[in-house]
Amino acid sequence: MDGIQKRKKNRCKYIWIAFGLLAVILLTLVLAVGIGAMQIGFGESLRILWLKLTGNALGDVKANAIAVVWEIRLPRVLCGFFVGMGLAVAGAVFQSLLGNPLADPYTLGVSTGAAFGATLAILLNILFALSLSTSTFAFSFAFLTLIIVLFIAKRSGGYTTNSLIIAGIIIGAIMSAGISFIKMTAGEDVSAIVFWIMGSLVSRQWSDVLLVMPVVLIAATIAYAFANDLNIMTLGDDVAQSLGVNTERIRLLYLITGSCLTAACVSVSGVIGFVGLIVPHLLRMWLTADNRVLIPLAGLLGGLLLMLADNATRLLSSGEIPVGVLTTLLGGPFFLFVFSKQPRRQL
Amino acid sequence: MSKKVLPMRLSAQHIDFYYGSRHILTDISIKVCAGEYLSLIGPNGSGKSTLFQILCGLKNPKKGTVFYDDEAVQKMSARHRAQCIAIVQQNAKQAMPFTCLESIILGLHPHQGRFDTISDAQYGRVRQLMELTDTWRLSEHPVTQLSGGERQRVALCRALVQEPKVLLLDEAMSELDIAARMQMSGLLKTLCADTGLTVMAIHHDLNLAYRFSDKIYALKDGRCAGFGAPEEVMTEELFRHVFSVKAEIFTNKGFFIQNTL
Repeated sequence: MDGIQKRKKNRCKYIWIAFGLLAVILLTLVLAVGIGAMQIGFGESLRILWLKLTGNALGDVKANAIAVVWEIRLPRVLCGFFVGMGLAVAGAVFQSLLGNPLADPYTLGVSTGAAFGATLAILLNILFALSLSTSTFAFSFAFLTLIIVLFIAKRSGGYTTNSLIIAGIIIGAIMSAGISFIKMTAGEDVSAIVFWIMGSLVSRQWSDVLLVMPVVLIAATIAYAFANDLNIMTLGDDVAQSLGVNTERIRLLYLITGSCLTAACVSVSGVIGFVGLIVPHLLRMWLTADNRVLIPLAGLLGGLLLMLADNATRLLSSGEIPVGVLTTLLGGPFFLFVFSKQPRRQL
Repeated sequence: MSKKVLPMRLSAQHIDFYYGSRHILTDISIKVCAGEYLSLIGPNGSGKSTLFQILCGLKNPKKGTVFYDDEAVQKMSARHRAQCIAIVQQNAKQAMPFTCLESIILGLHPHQGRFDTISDAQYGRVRQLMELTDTWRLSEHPVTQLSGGERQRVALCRALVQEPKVLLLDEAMSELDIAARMQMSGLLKTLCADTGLTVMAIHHDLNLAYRFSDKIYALKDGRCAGFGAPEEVMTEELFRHVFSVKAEIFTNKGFFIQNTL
């Protein structure tokens, strides 16, 4: 079989993988909303979800089962899925855009900006007994960070990989110092901040789903639609331009798309590590570097993995380890293992 | 040498380019016809690469205009320009582990709609060009693991898949061995004759330029130092003046560089 026939066959394979992932995701979702301190059967969960979605009356189902499934577990599970999806897509985007397989959604400092915003909101809430929304603060500061990073990069020689990364690191460092300062100011109430930063999906509500879901879906669609331009960008600016790609515009589009994804994810979940680095990286190693395949598959796999990881933390530990700790704790060694199995791969 | 009159393909008139007060190119005029193979020669820092970037629209000249047929290159849309002019640069590197086939297929981009699939005819052409450039055997290799020469073959093949009317090669064969260079130049020459492709190449291998070019354009310090048929331009005088070496010329064969001045 020659390369071209194999390519055609692989295209079909990728579609089947996508459907397979989708099936596993739906199955996991229904299982996840049933399992926990209050056990609800698979059929029962499915029925509650179905009746709720179709807007039918839930006459004979127990009210507390409905509340647990629909108001408590489902928002958390969905948040996990969309955050995982957003981080993995953002990771794929930043790796290609910066031409570095070790880039991740947090490389440009957007996440540190979000964490600073959230920290500030928590502090103000403590000091003045307010009830500011941490996610809104996080999202706004993530955006502010992006604008500052873009501004600095632009002034120091355009949106090149190096100037973007350097600007990201500097702003990230400043924001980090800000976070430390706020932690110090918070005194005894520091644990709320520490927990937020570690990344967790505990007690997320529908309002969080409504923040993260639309952003992730829209941004992922945009990322997918321009994926071939992103492929061409990996050839370098001059070649990309001579292939008819408007590199300035595509770079800006992807910087904003990737940062929106990161900002939305970090705002609802805190800083969850490794999903955005590993998922696109592994898929690229196993399947292909083609972003038209990588972006949708990374989105699905990232969503599934975070959903599973969050349920593992929920079920395995009574005290609830933050899921961000678990993903890094398990993801890191796994990544090392896979990486050492691939001796000839270049970083 | 009175061949049939060929239509003008790419021309530049009175191009000036400078950074601040540093002049890179001064009053450059150049013309190349359909089906011609032109080599641009000159020592390091003579402005060859800058001239190429201006000719393909990557840089704008400070003064003067570049025309593709009758259109100003700097005013063409990026996509339209990509359908007409392709450039291959010396150290073409791709950071992500695309397979060679995937990487070469990216050359189809200017001829494809956003969600078009690749037709069998296009696949057929890709395969043919990959066989001609000896990259077919590499089709499933990741580009990140290629040698310098292989990488240049892939870049050349991608540019040919792009189906340009004008192909600019900025030392695009520098890492190929001598046999491969001859073979590639021969292939390009055939394409010039058969399809009317125009090739403009920057060569450091002057014997290769002498042998394969219809025309030679010599640059020194950003100014024209000679333009015409190889045997007219590449004289002992030119070698002394432009390259600061003493050369012995064997008419219609090549030359032998004796020593520096």
